[in-house]
Parts: sequence; structure tokens; C-alpha cells
Amino acid sequence: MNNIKGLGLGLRKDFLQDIDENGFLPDWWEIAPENWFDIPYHHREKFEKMISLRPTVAHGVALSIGSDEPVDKKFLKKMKSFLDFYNIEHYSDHISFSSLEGIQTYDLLPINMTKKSITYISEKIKRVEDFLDRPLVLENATYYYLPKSDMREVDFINSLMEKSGTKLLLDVNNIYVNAQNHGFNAYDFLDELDLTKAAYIHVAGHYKNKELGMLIDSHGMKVTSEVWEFLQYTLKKVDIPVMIERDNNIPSYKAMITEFKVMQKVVQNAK
Amino acid sequence: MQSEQKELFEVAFKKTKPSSDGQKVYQYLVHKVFFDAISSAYPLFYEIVDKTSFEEVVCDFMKFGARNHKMWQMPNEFRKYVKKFNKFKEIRYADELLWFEWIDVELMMKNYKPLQEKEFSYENEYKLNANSVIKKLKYRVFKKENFSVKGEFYLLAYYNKQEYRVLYREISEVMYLFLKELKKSGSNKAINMLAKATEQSKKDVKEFLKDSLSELAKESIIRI
Repeated sequence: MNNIKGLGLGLRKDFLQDIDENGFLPDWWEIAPENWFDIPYHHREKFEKMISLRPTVAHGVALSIGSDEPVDKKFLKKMKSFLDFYNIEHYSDHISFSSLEGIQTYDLLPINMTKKSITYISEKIKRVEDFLDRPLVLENATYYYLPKSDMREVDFINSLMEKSGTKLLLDVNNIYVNAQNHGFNAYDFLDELDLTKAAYIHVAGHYKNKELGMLIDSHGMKVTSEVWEFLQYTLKKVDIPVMIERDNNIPSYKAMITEFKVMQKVVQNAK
Repeated sequence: MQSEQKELFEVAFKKTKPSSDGQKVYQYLVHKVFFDAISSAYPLFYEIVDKTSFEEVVCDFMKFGARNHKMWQMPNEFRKYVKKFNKFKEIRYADELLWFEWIDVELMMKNYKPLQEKEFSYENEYKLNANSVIKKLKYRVFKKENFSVKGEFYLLAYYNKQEYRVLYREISEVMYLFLKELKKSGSNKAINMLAKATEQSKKDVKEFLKDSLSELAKESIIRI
């Protein structure tokens, strides 16, 4: 990921029109490409202006790389045409699946953490990269239930990165949420993760759902102090770009800047 | 196909019961995505519908399956599902109200060419622009109240590029038929059709329509 440096922010339609191009801008943007396949008339000019001012990477949700069926060519074609049109070099999605037989869940579902999955997904990654003519980066996802597993998550991720040669989008909030929900130590997990494969870092918010008895990775609230602390620990081990990912309950741009400044402090303190 | 993936899908779409707390979370999350997207795309409909039956239809739709990668399009699949399977039978105007609310989303989400104002002239051939839709309705759903008033209503909905929003106009039957023909065959044939139907000369029809068409051209509702 040589085109991004420093601190980034997810560019969202919700606050796009609030952004002053002469005011505060992050070092780089991340966009959710599926949300920009159709750009409303009143957003196009501003969107294009914003991504022309800062390096931009794409982070999708609909690739469904982990589903046990071929990737939808029609979807890949649309993605390639979007990425090519806006000259976006880096594209990522999640180590998960979201669709089967053409039916969409619009959510990220967990995959089997097995040796068989690693082989199958690695082959799919290769096909996706060949089609898109660019590397695919994959994010460690949250899971609330593990269908089948013959290895620990950290070993699964390390092996998948090793076998496929792909880079990791390191989501520290997801590690924290999984650790809390499944009773392991997030710090130990990170110590065992092969961070030489990490491309950049996501931080995001989560909440405790008392009824379900789990932390939910909602991307719908502020980043918690525990996750900021965990980010600081991570940054002492690896010096790569970091960004805040907010997908739901999106506040004003002003509020996002306030949270961005918290991230700046955390990053400075880690150095 | 991995049976585990299939199993989780069945649970997420409430076709089968969850066998663990973790599976319950996916049932909750997937339902929330569908429910939030659909209820926010159709706020007027959601306000009047019985909430229990709405939940039931959303669940039925989830089981039926949404196929579009673009999540913003999913409520349109829901609308088509409601129409196809005759859901919400107790609300006679359900299909039309859902259409009315959807067209707002659809016209807002489209990309249009930049505004190019050109004075209207009969020397040009006009077509209905992509930012505009005409529809014959049985219920006055566009009034946003008293939906159940039955009759024959003709609606023009269009995206206004100056105000960045969708505007609506109730139009006459004559204007509806004219715009319908204009959409299909262009303005010259539409004028011929109207002249024939009203037994007037083309010149009279042109004179009669001039102000209206000038305004429609100014609003980019019709284009060259």
C-alpha cells in the first residue's frame, strides 16, 4: 500500500457535502465501492473532487470471497470498471462470505477456519486478482459463531496470508470484539499475528448487546477507549497507516474530525 | 457446497432455528439490515402499516431472497415481492404507495448529465428525460395523506437539478397521454396523436402546449 501514508477516514455520503475542501482533510480516504457504483447527481462532483485531493483506497463488502462457490463475474466486472474509472489501485474486502447462490445477506458471515478453506480461498483470491488486475487485500472479520474449525483464528489468518500472498487489512476493533466474545486475549493474538503482512489498520466502534450477550461490531459509534489502547499497542509493533471506519449512525463531518484527532494523539503517543 | 454455510444461511433468514447464541446473533443482524433498509425506504408506508404484519412480510421476503449486490436496491426487490405475492391485501393502495416512495429513491440515486438549459423550440424533437417518470394511479398516494381516496390520478415525478430533490406534479389526463406518447415516440408523433384525438389542427395543439412544454424543457423533464 505505497500510495497511502498517515491517517485516513472513510468517505461517506452522509457528510460528503459538509466537507470544506480548503479545510480539514485526512491524509487519505477509504471508500465503500458498492455504495458509489451509483452516484447521485448532487454528490458526483463533490465525490470526484474529494478523491482527487487525497489518495483513495476501496474497501468493499460484497465480494463474498469465503463463500463456497465461484465469485460472481458480473460483480467483479462492475468492480473493475469502477476501480479503473477512478484509478483506485487498492481494493480490499473481508475474510467472510455474504452471499450464496446469488442470494445476499448484506452482512458478513463467518467461514470455516480449516486447511481446506485456505486452499479454496487462496485459489479464489488469485482469480479475483487476475480479473481485477490489482492485488486484493483482506480484512480479519468478526465472528459470533464459528461453523467449523481445525485451527485457531490467528493460525488461519497467518496461513491464508502466507499461502495466498495477499496483504492483511488489520482491523484492531475486530480482534478486540472477537477476543471478548470468544474468551481469548487480544494482545496475545496480536503478538502471534504475522504483522509483516499487514497493509493498514481499521479502528471502529462496537457496542454490547445485553440481550445477545455479545459485543457487536456495529461501526455505528465512537471507538472505545479499550480499542484505542489496543491500537496504541499495535502501533508499537507495526508502523502502517491507520483509519477510522464508520458505516452506521454516521455523525457530522465535524464529529468525525474530533474522533480523527483522538486517533492522531493515539498514533503520536505510540511513537 | 459447504453444509455449514448453507446451515448458517437458513438460520440467518429464519428458515431454521438457531442452534447456538452465536447463530442467534446472525439472525438478529441480518434481520436488522433488511428491516432498517426497508422501513427507511418506505417511511410513509411504515407509518400506516400494522407493525406485526410488516415484520412478517419482511421475514417472508428474506426467506424468498434478495439478489442485488447494491443494498440500496434491496427495498425495490421488496416492493416487487409485495406486488407479485399480493402482500398487505388489507391496504388497497399498498402497491401504489410503495411505488411512490420507491420512485423518490430511484430518481435521487440516478446520475444525470449536467444541466444544459436550452430554450424550447418546436424545431427540435423532444423525448422524456431520464430524470422523469409518469404514472397513472388509482389512489392519491402522492398527497401523502388520505391515501384511500380512489379515482384516476396522473402523476409526473422528476428530479430537480437545481433543488437536488424529487418533485411531483399532478397532471391532466391529456398531458399524461401526451407525455406517454412523447416518451414512446417523441414530441412530433405525440403532437400528431393529440391533434387527432382532439380533432384540432397541429398548429392549435402546438399553441395550446407551448407554455407547458417550455416549462417542461426548462425543468429538463423533456430533452432533445
